Amino acid sequence: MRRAGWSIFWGAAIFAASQVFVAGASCGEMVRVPAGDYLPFFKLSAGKGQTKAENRPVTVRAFVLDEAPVTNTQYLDFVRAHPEWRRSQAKALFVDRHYLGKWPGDLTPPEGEAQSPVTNVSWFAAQAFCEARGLRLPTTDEWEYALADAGRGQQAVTQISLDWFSAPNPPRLAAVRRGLPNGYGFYDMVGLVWEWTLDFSSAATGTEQRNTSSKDDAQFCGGGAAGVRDPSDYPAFMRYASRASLKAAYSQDNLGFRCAGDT
Amino acid sequence: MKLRTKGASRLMAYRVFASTVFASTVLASPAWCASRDENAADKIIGEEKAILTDAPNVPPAIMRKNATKVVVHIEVKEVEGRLADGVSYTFWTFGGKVPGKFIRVREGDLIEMHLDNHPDNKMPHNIDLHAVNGPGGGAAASLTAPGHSSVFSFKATNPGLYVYHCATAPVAMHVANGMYGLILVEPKEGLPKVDREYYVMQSDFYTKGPNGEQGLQPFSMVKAIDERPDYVVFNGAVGSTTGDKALTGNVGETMRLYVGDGGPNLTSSFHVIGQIFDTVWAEGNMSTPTHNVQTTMVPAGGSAIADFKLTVPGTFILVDHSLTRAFNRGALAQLKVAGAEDKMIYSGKTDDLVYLPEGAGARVAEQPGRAAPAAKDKAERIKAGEGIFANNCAACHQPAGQGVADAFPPLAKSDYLKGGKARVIKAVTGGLEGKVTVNGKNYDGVMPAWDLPDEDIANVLTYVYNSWGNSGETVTPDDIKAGRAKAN
Repeated sequence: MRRAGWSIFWGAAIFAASQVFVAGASCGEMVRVPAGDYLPFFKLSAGKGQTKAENRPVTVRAFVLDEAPVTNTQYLDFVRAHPEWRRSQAKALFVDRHYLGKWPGDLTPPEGEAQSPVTNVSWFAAQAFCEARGLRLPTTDEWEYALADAGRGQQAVTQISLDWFSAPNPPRLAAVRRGLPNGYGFYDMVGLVWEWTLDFSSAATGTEQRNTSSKDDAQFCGGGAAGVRDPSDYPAFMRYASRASLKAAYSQDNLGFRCAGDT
Repeated sequence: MKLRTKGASRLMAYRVFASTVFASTVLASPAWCASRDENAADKIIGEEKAILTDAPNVPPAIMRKNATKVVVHIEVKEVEGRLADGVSYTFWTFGGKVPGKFIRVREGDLIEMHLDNHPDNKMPHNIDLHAVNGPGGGAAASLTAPGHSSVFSFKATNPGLYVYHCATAPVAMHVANGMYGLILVEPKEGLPKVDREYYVMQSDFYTKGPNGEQGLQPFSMVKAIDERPDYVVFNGAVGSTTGDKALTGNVGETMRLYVGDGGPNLTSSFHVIGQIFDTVWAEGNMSTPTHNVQTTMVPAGGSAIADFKLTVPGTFILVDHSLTRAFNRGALAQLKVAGAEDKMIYSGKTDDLVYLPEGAGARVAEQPGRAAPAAKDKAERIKAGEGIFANNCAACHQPAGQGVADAFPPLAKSDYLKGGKARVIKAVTGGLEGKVTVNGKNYDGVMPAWDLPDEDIANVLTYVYNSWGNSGETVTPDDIKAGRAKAN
């Protein structure tokens, strides 16, 4: 069983490598996601005429989203055109000291990571990149809806996530599009980097899982896992906790992004 | 009316009595009873950097007589390390190892906690110290992204030995990956002086492959949720505290173990084989030590302090007395004690004797009420006898009848059997004790009398006579009936 999975993986890697060659270093493809309802992992809201907050499906409008995380090569093009976002010139208000921390120079991405996701970018920088393309960051609902993939392959999402958590950081981030795309056509939603969302701090888990502070009781009540869609979905907890720990100027070795747009 | 008065005065007397007892308790040991409010109001004088240690070491006792500000820096690191021989695991750690750094402060101290999340990490982390009175035990103030640092402070108002752990969602996974440690809030007058102190923390691990499967093992979410750990260990790995890494001590010394249980799930039945705990502060609670304890329960997210004097040399094994965890999952550590024997306290083995049960002196066969089915011919007799032999005789005479040198005589090619059925039947039904010579060798042991039905004895003897080069005779139930040893 596992063996078969690996051969598919390697086959995909070879396929992906040839595709990258064809696509070159330009911007990746975007994928259109049809509108639909989905049940967020966290997020309690009251229904019409009700006072009790509960997990309720939300409707996501159709949108487009990059099929893979933004790469170092794409980001290099951006900082060439926008000097104010170069490592040495970005304003401290918008980036922390880790901004583009792996880049040896302003216009020098880390060696061997041309097709790897750009990381150590702040929310401000990521949003500026997307705006320069006439786009924006995806909302958390949009991003999670794309990952939910209309229910397809959710076991794989869990397993790839858990394996990624358990693997030590590689010296170099792998290139994007090495695995298989999901049902919509998205690559690397999990297992490569965390990703920024437009509203990363608004639907957060609170500062700790059990939420003993009263601050976000409206969103996440009670001890432990009360109020989540599925308390056995550890990777989902991780994604929300990771977002909750962020501030817009933060940047991290494992945090990248992709852009979204309305249709 | 009369009754009521009587009741009231009784109540009054009880109140006086109770308050007298309470007052005297307070007077006798005032510091044990320093209240939370008193500790909160304790004046802070000066500042110092906490001395932090990795297990099994414990920071030195605090000699200060005043409260101070203690600055604690703990760096969270996600590191690959050894879980068992050939098995590695990506641990999430408070300070680089599992369990996390031992923190030691004094009742009344103000602790300034710095949680530093290394930039190489993937996960946000925080810290919940059970020694804190406040939302999340500090977790609400310390959620920290990789490459960042959180600071908060708290007053150590309640003495005790407390667990700390990461409480970031999903909390069970952060804890399952190794994020726990101990903080000791020492009472103002300190704990009784001992010669040695050690830090031991139990925890359970859940791996994708079963116990022993080699290589880097990812966390198994399914097993964790089902509470089916593959490893239960002390101090973060199988064999972390055995062999040349064992705890050590000398005869005559007093020993203290600060024991924690990180979980995430299992409660420990903590026991040291061959030691009685002279004093235990159960659940790390400083006010009511108990004495002469064999096994102390350490709850997940809880602790205990155990003191004992080392009076005899040897290797003592620390276990979770839920024993398959010790035998099959790794919950085992060693304490090696050097020094002179004390034969009065423990003699060691002084004699090796044969045990003769009292009473009938007979072995009661299994299921004595059941009548043995009668064998129709020799072949059936041999077949039935084989099973009887295996159940009753093989343990001593051995499955191939070869016996055991100097202990149990052989039945194979046995000259004893050639001496006639009568004495053999007598030996089996009445037992045999004292010197006997078989195939030229002397034996001086005991065979109990066998309380088996005639049919069974006939069958087993026929089996023996027809095995291993013996004479091939048949023994019948009538032979047994005639030859049975008379009860004495």
